[in-house]
Amino acid sequence: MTNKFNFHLTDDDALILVEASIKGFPLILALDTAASQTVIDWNALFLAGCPIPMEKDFQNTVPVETASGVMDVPVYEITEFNALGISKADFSVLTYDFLAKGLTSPYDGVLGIDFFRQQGVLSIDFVEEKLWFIRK
Amino acid sequence: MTTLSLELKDAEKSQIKIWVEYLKSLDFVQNIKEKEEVRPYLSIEVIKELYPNQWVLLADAQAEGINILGGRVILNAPDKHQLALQGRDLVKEYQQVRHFFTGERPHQKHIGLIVRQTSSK
Repeated sequence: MTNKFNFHLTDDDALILVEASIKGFPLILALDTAASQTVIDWNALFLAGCPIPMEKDFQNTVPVETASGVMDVPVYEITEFNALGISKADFSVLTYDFLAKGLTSPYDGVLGIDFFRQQGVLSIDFVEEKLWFIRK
Repeated sequence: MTTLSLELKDAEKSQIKIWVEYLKSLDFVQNIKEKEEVRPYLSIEVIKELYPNQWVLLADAQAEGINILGGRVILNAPDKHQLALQGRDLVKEYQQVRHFFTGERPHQKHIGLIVRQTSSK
């Protein structure tokens, strides 16, 4: 099964933005094949109706290496997550309040390679600005 | 259940808003829904003009992929945290809800490496 999507890189620092959803609530994520882990803004998860605790109340955190150093980030399991034609149940993502950390990104997070692992082939055509996901 | 209906002139709509908020706060008032005419369908260009640099929650949103074409503005806030806190319950009441930022994406910012380390606590 092949799923094909268009993206548009508007300028030199543009991102590949893709649509995802949590139980039908749409999110926009930046595709980042250099990220080992998918990260979603706490605010987006809360808005999507996830029964998510406040960031300070999370029990399960993992250390994450970022450009500004290592920080402990909460882990949250999404019961129903979709992106690029792939559906995943009980998908674990990292989450934190982007705004509280000084990030004012207009997108809702980063789709990392953990989402694609064991799923199939991801091809990105930067000339035609299209990407394909072929399920194996 | 008692249902009341009010017809308002344009100039009165903003004035009545404070009273509607008060009525919503009363325990015995269960459900106040403003008519769709109060929240008309707007194109993305108009929404950006009316709500500059705001996080906006749209109902009945039309979109092509990640590109939002328009919708009915049901909430706006200067930051996403405020939108999330106020909008969570609204999301359940409407169809085809989407959220987005009306301003420009910050330039010269890049996604850094995000590497999850093996141990957890």
